[in-house]
Amino acid sequence: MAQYQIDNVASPINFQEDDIILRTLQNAKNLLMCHMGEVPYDRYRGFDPALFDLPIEQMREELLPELDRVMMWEPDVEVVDAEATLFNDGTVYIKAIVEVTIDE
Amino acid sequence: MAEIGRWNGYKFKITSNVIRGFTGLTVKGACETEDKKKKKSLGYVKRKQGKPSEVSLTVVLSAAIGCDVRNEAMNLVNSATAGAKDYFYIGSHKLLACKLMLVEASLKEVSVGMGDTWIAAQVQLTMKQCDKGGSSSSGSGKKKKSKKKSVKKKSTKKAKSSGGSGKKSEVDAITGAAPSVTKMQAKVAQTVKKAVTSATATIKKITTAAKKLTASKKSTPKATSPSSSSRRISGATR
Repeated sequence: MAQYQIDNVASPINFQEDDIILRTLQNAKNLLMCHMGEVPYDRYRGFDPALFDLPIEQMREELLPELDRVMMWEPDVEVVDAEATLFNDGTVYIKAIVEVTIDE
Repeated sequence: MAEIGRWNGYKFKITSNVIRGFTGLTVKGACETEDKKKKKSLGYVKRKQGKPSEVSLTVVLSAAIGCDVRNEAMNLVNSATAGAKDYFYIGSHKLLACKLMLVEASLKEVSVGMGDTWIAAQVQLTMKQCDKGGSSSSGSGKKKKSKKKSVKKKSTKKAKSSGGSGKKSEVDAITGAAPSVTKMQAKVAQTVKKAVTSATATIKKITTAAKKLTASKKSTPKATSPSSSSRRISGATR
């Protein structure tokens, strides 16, 4: 099955997307961009921002389990690998390799 | 890296307070086979279907290196009873792309110290693959179909009804509208029929009335009074 890459760089959502794979990837990216606690009545949805406060090595350890938890809201996506990079300005770039487990 | 592995919140790690490790990690993958039926290839087999992957390891617990032996061991045994499942992470990577269910935990070589303190123990864990899990090719190889397709269909239908193009949707819309059109036609036909019947009756009435009138006019003498009609007739003759 093909693997895709998503990251936490903001990009506009295409609401008219017809391709099922791209729509699923958009969902996954949206979940990654979403922070835990910001969705009313669904406070566990989204990435736990507490991870950004951890030392980068520790964050790397916690990243994959956290992404697996986040992607429970998109069952068609399976996280294969993830990587976190700390930039000089303090921002963290997250890159995740995912597999979409549905037919094209 | 302080963390060696993780499964279902249970962390194998080396810190200043505790060393919780494991030995004898074994990953097993297998498939079922069946004999080939061709006469010439006797003795060969072909793949029938995949077997679930299996991971086994032994957790070494010791109170001397900071482990709460009894609690941790019994937690693992209870997890096996409950069939707890999660990904197994080694470092910051998944060992297998699928979730693993703890199917067996056997506690052995328990050393109990003074009182009820457990000094050391080993727990043999056996985990089995419990879902398809990404690129792993075990199982029957059936592909999952997304539920999103139905949602997509609905949305396209909506888009087309609101002016979107697409022959298929137009055909669908026309086919869907056919019964209502037929009903309307029947209603219109009935209304027209009623109107025609009533009109025919009215025409008949008028005709009979006109006939009666002409008959009565013929019976009356013309010269008694000069009527407008007679004048016109005379005018026409001029």
